[in-house]
Amino acid sequence: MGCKNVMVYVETAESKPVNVGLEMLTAAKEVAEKVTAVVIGAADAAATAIAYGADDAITVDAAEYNTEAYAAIVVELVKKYAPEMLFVGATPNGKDLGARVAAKLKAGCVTDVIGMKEADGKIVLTAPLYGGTIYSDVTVEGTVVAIIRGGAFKKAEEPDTAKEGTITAETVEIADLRAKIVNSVQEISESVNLEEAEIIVAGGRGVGSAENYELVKELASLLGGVVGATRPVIEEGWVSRAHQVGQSGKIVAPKLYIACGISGAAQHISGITGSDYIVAINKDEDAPIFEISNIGIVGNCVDALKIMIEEVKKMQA
Amino acid sequence: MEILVCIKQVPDDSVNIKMNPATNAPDLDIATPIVNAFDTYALEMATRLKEAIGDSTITVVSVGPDKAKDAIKTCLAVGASKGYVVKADATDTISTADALAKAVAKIEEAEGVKFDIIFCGKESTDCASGQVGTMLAEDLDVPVVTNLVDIEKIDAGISAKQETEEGYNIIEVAMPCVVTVTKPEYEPRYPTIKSKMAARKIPIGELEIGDVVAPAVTVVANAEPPKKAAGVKINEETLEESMAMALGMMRDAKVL
Amino acid sequence: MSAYGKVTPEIVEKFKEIAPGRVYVGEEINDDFTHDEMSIYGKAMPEAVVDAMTTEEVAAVVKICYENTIPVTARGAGTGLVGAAVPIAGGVVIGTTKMNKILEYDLNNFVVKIQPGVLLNDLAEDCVSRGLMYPPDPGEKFAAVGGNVATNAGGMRACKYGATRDYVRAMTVVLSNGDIAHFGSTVSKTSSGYSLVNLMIGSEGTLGIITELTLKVIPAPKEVISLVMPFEDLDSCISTVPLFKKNNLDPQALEFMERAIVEKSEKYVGKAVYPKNIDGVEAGAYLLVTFDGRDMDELEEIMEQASEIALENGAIDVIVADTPPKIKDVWAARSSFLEAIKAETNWKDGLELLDECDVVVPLDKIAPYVEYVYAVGKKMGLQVESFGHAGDGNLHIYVIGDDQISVEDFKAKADAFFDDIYPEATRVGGLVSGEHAIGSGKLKYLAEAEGERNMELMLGIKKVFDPKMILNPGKVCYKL
Repeated sequence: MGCKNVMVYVETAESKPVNVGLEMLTAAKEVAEKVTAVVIGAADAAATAIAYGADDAITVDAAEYNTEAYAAIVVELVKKYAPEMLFVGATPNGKDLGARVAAKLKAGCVTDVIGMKEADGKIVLTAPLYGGTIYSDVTVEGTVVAIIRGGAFKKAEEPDTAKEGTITAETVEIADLRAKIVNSVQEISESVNLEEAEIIVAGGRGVGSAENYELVKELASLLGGVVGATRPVIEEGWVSRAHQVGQSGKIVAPKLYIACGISGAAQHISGITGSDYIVAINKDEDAPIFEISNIGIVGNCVDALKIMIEEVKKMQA
Repeated sequence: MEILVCIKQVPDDSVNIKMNPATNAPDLDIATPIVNAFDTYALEMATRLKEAIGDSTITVVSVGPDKAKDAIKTCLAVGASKGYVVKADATDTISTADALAKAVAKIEEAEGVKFDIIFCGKESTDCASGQVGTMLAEDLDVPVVTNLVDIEKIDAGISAKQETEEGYNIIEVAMPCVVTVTKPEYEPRYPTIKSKMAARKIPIGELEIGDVVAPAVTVVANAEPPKKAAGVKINEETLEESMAMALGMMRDAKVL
Repeated sequence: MSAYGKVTPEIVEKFKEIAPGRVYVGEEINDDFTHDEMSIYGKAMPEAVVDAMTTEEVAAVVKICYENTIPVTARGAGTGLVGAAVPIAGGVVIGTTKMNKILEYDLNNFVVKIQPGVLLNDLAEDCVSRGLMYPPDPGEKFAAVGGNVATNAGGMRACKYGATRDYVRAMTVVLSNGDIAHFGSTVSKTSSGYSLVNLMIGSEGTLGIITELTLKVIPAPKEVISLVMPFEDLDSCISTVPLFKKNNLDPQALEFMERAIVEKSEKYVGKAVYPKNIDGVEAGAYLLVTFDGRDMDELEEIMEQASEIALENGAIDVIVADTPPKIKDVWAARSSFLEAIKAETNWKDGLELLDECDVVVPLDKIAPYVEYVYAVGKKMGLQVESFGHAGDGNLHIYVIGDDQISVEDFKAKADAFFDDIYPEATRVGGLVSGEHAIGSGKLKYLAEAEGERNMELMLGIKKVFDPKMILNPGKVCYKL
């Protein structure tokens, strides 16, 4: 074991652990003798964390997520329990939280960790650089804050609900917050769970229009999958940004990823390489997406979508 | 108001960086050095804020080599009126944040001002760690708001529109503070010939800040990602044939 | 046409011996081979397609065609705009897309030897990775370089560096009887008789089939900068163009564009970077100028001078694109004009209701000519879009059919439109095509502009090279 004690901050959404929260437990088990999960403001999630691999768990009661408040809590816990490493999931809030905790602890912090190994008694973390075109191996002096990318590790396939572990409730006093959220607006009402999707049908600029994008949605819905999109598609406004896949969107790892009219910029590819099976349709024979696809179909993606929709309908009939 | 914008010079992110086998390091020579895209958004947002409230000065600072002056020069043509480059042995985020915090103090001393707002891009396109702005705020012991898409001056300080996964938050914070900026709805402006000529005349300051905290993160190796073996490319006479073949293969692979 | 022989099954067998696995007949032929990017000039199915890989294969196929008087049409990537690669007399199409190797660089003489099917984009990128530049820069980057040579393609950088012709040093050609000939040499000057190499350039496969090229390359310029100059109207915009050269400034590229098409294209690209209203003044037209130089200091000086000239001549402002992403963005709008137009074009009966011309006129005639063209379009009730290479007077004028018009009606109206504007181009001292060539689509207009005697000279040359008239019949000067 590379280290004795890893603390994992398991982020929750609607009181349930988010995927990356559980995935990190797998990674933590591999490098540490003891894995402690931390859940804040969602005590029920502690049992889930233990079932997914944590040895024990700490719960802290708190109001809704606020980086300042949650970071203060985590910092207190790190000070008290002195783990060698702290894992945080690389969600937007997790990235904020990890950086804030690292800053307070003056700890070395690595974002978007996609791999972990031991070498010469040290833990080596791997993180992408330059839009995912280079993978960099780093070591960290002192306490490590590792912000771990979703999809990089697999969560336990079957939670072990019989597994026992101590759940400790802690209280942390929060000082007055300096940045106040005065209004929180939910513009995107649909719930888009790209990280947990088994099938993703994604479109790029090549789809051509919002109208054609309906075909992407139709195929996704037929297959029981989730709709993905590249950044230009979001900027065009064909779908909401909840659907964005890639470096600046969601990192995904479905069983099947169908890429329609996506040429394959490094920033997009870096978000989908965890996919088990990639099917790409593009009219440009030299599109980089083909280099990472199991099947590459050269052709007009709109026509291809129509054919695929018909075929799937026939299969399901 | 006194505004500081922290920028980083990065390789053009539209170029795919590869390893240089000769040096066993990423070959950055193939990409032109430019200002990090998120920093250009930060500068644009700062400039729009300045235009909205008037009577403000925007200073730009970068921790980097001499060549980072080129990056500062571009900023001086699109809204900033002063620029500094900071030389420091900063190779990770905590040392960079420390260097910036020390630079802030130096600039404030030299110019006889206090910065009200410090803008940073939410992350750089090369390392994408997204840590420096937050760490800088911590070092300066001021509040921070991340992922801004808009900003407004209010009596109590500033009102920031923060992008969230489902929408946005409106966050109020007192000054001084640090904000980090993501892609707003607008594009950064282009320099005009006049602004560019004027920028040429502005001297760029060099700051000596002494030692910074030792970096905690050390790079031990770089490599290109393992290539996912490309599968088959199907290009039959008609798309119908191609699709039939592809669907067959997908069925065989049991992904459908 | 009846004089031509047919591709018999026996001949197909012979082809298959020459190019095993790369001969296609009947149903096996992809529909792509029946047209180029301008389907409006008609589609035609070849009797056989041979994907050649070597000069010898091309020679062997052509020899059989010669013996049997079968038409032979060479085809690169099929990105042409005048129907030149469409086999309107039937016969055999020889595809060169598999002849796509960059063979060798000779950096003592600054030349590169390539096969004709190399795509322009691949050649350009390969040059850049070696610190070199292949200056010709036609808009369609996925065209085959062989096709570029066969049409003497121009492009954005023609303003400073000239067209494809200026970069072809030597070539290997298969003649109509199947003989293999070498024209030209790597040397940079020649005073050695008729220039056979130059006859081949722009001959659109009617004099021979190019199977290898030796092209001139240059060291890549170190720094590049682009300026966007908004003007209130097209007149002041265009009248600025000659002033750059007069003041000893040599732009790499100099494009003019009107506001309407810029807005259309920006919408297509999804990014608006051209200023529309500058301090209360509405922009009506733009110049997009690119300069290259040894270093930034030199460039900044040029930029300053160029801006001064423009501002004195009525430019509302000058916007500078000084980083690769900004240069890419300002050019993305320009490069996407054709795609933006095509995105709006209607299709009927498998044909795209789009026709175009690429006349070239003297610089001082650009503005009045464009005005004339719009007036004619308006009179005929046609949607007309235009933009062009201001630096060399080359205009691209498109007519677009709406969803109401029938194919027949559209063709008739477009013909009437071109029947009016081509003679006007000639009248002001221009030529029929600046860079897209003649093919079958522009043959009539070339004949009208050149007159009988010139056309006879061309046909005479054709007969010397191709006595049986089998090489790409129905194109350039030989009407079927």
